[in-house]
Amino acid sequence: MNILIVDDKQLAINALCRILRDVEPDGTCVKATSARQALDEACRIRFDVVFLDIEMPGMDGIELARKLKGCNENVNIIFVTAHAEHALEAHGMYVSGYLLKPADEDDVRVALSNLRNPIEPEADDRIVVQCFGDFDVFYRGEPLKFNRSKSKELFAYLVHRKGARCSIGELITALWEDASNSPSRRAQVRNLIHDLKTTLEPIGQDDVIVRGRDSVAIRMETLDCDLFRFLRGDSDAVNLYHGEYMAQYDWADMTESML
Amino acid sequence: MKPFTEQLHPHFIFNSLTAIQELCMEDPDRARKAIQELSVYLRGNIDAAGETTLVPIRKEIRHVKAYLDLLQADAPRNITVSWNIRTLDFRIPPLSMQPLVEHVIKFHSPCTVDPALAIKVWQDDAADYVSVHDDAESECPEGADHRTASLDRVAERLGAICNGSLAYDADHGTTLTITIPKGGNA
Repeated sequence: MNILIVDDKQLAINALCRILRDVEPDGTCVKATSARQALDEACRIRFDVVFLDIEMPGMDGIELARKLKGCNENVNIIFVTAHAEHALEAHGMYVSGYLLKPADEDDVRVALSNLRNPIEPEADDRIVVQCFGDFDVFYRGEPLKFNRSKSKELFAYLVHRKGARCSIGELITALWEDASNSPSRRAQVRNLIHDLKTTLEPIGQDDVIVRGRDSVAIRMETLDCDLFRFLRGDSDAVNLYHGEYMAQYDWADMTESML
Repeated sequence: MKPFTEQLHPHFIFNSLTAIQELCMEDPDRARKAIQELSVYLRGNIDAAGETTLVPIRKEIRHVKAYLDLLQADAPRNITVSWNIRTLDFRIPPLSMQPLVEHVIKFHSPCTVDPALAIKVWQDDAADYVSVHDDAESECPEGADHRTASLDRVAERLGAICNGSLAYDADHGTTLTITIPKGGNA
């Protein structure tokens, strides 16, 4: 949810922002201290909700509301005031709701649950990773095809390391138990990493892998992974674990007992 | 708005409370100070409601300082005030000074220059005086009459309670001057 807060007073903006971090943690707050700034931001970013202080000097609240609707007709405008007066009723045309300052969490929660133009939740288009049982990877319901089984194993290892940067040397040891840190092995690892990229790029997911000078890692937040949810305490994920973790891979044995 | 609630200035109070709510998290020391100033401000307003008894000018000055402090707690512009106090030896109807300061700040223009006020308290043989001056031109509300309802109320009370008067001078910036003749007040 994209939220714009418009108020010429900085502490008032910060107070509302603080409440929103609590009530709407997935939302993004942008601050504006003038009508001009508000309109500049509204042309850059598509806002779902605008909290608009109607007591800012030199600006007509209705006029600004009208212009904001011009940038995005579905924007929800919530008028914010320190003291309600009869005149507010006339503003009803553009307004999703009103908020009195100082606001509290409940006031804001109610305002956001009763938006005039409700917001559609964003679809989760991430890669799904399954660690419990056999390791497997899906995208939009279909198993993700890796060109080589070793590439898939590399991917599994990076997930197993939970986003930690793995050096090429470490990867060699994990993938080939008997291997030495030779130039040819290093080249093989680099090929596998490249292979992963060619699997991920066509589906627009190449930001899953982050490359360093002599290392590689996955970005945890780009994956919908049962292990990660388990570790965060997600009760649904805990129920998925039945004693097996990445069953195909030997290096995963130790983790089973930890879980 | 009814006179009593207008005297309480709900906008100002709830804006101050909002600032304090946030200061509690960002800067508790400033929050404590702001709560103290708000108490002084509110006490001045509540005690004055319906009262016709005069108060020492010192009290009025304290009230104005609390008002300015709270304004500055969360203000987009910096308001500088220079004080020139030559006497504290007289009394004045309560809530006479703050509306003058509020008026001058509210109608200060242009927006690009921060308000710089000069507040003077002095006396001569004939009377005691309080003036609030802003170098910048005042932005008059629509119509030729630059007085507002709150200034009119101050003028009325000055006249009724202590034979005083309020003058509005719009040459060389804006100057509001209260004159209280000597010998006419307790």
